[in-house]
Amino acid sequence: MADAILALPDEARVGELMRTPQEVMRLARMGASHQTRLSFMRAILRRVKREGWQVECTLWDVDEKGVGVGVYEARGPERTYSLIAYANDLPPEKRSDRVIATEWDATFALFDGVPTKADIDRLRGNVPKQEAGRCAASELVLSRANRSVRLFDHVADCLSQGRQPDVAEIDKVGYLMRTTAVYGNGKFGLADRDLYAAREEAGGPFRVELLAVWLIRTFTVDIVEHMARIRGGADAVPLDPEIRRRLGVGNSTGLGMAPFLVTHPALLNAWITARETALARVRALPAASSETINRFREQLDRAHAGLERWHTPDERQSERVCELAGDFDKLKTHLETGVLEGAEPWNELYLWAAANLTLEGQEAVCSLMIEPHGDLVDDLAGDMAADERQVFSIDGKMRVDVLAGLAARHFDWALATDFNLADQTARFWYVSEEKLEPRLGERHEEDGAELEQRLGIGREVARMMAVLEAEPAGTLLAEFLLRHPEHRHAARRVQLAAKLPYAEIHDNVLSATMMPIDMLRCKLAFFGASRFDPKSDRWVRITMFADAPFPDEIAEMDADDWAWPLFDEAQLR
Amino acid sequence: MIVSLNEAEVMAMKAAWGAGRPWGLAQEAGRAMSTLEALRLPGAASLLDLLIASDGVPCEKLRPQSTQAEWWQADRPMCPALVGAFISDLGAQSQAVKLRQVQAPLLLVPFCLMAFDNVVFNWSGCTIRSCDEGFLVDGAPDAKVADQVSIDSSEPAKEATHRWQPGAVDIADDIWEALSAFAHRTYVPASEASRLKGAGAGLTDND
Repeated sequence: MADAILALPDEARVGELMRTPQEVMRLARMGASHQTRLSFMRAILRRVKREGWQVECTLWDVDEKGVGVGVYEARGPERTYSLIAYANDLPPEKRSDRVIATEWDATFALFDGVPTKADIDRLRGNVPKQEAGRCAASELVLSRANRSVRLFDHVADCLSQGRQPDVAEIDKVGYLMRTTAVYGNGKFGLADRDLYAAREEAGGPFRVELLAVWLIRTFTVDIVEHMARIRGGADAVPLDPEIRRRLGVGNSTGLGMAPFLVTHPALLNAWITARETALARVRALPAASSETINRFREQLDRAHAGLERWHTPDERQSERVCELAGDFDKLKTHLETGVLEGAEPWNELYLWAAANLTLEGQEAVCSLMIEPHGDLVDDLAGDMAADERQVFSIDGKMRVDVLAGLAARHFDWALATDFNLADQTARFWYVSEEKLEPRLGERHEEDGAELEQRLGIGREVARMMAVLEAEPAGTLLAEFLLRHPEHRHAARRVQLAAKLPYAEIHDNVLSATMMPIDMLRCKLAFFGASRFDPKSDRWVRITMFADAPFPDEIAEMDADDWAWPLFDEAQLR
Repeated sequence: MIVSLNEAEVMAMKAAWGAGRPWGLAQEAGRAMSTLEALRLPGAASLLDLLIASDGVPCEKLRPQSTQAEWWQADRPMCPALVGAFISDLGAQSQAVKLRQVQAPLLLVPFCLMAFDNVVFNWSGCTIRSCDEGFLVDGAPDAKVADQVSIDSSEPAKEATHRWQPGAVDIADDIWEALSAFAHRTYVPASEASRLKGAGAGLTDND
């Protein structure tokens, strides 16, 4: 066993054990994604800890109604990023999570550096308006949040009376405020990603957006404690740090996020490749050390106990959480067979899971298997950025018959779909005139399908193939596309899929049975979100940074031991 | 209007799509426009000239009918995005390309970066030569139509008058609004049903 600890996986074996795109890139499996230690929130907090970042609230100018501004400076080794938070006293009738809202309980900008009073005043006229305002290249992120009224009032009341809130109430909701959008990369005048992509701390995907969310979490506690002091005066107490840590930041995510995975194929490929490589490295380990086995068992126990706090009224997801609990029971029984003491133990365990557990359970096991192997996989978190421009050009010197061969290999699922069937094209993606946001329409019932966004890559490829059939085999792709520029999109995606195996979703996103929340969950799991709570087939609430350290305690705590938190030994099943 | 390069690219893509260019080509037009703007060259104005002149014209009337010694189209000036995409698709190029009648020829420039190590463009009164840092532009680059365009490999320019500058760009309000009008054609008007169903919500959020 001692030798096994030092044994690294064989590279060729890692290659053999990579799951195929045909298996991984199905919406049903993507929709069962779980966070892993490569998730962006976790990578951020590891860095914050490693580099000893300091966070300080440098301005708190909020009145007795809870209206005003707070500034939080996050100081890293090279640069400072500042969250500017504008707090609002929002009438209940205006509280909407939908993108059509015009006012929020709080609005935020992440400022590049330390803002001057002039910056704060300029942004006061814009940030509270969100999409209707304008930011500048000095701002990296724009966001807003609404209170969970029920929990916010409960916590404020308790604290104002000098007592701590009910933990059960906190766990029922999980957050004081939920963000309803976190914008970056040049939206509404914000800094283009190119301006900061070369920075070590900001170059990874969604690093600045999620740094902002982590700081927003602190603001949500500060504002509830502020309201408690207003109500209770000298009687008020601050939140107990142990209770406070259970709070994350909620998030309400709708359809707007779904097309992202289709429009960023290189990025999707980078994310999935990193996670699949991590899994394959673990599966290729020749043996398991007792230390990693113990760690795995401990995390499994915590994950199992943590299901108590995964609340969702959604029938489908609620059933899946129950099934996941059943899967964990089965897994624990299976561990008693000594599976982890044999050769390639993690691979054996994976193969057993693939044959015996639900998709939700299989993907949870993948995450748990990766967890004790930080030394083996954490480097992959640095390989998850991608620049779509690098893979954008088309190789027009390719012959069309070669392209057709690539399409047959990489889009077999699409070419086997009959797009003449009404069900296969039941949906169309469009951008609404009203909010300039992605929407999903019913093609055979609603107007507007002629303006559909070309997100159904499978159908695009099938259409191109129908035309390609009539082309002489030796035709250069460039010549074909000069005559048929309507197929440039499909040709590009076929060439991309041949280079980047995990770039495409292998399912028809126009189908009547497609669930947009599957796309949302995949993306949000890479962010590091947990407790997925679908509100329909097309929007979902989640919690971010729940159980993670706060800025004022991260120096003393493990920065990376919060994905499956342990609160109470008695909870363990 | 001061906009980020990302906003510029998204707007350009939608505008080109709204004016009838197919999706994939519109994406390329978007990239080309924002690339030019990043060089502080008038990409937005050139794109607008192109879209106004070729609004709704099918691509077969905008592409070269012949790509022999000289590329030309009998009916009307060629589309620089279509021609440029073809040049880009063909990749590394050793021979000069000669074009007759091109609309908004400035838009050819970004497409040719893939095909030549260093490249020189010539059209009536304007020479543009590339180097690593950007482009040396001599003359007015914003011709609405060029009768003759030549594109050839070249020695790198000794200096650049237009360098790559990431970050926000200032696009004249009237140009931005005109591009917005083209982009607007790609939006689907809301109905009460689509408002509720299309986004998937409709519940109270006071919880």
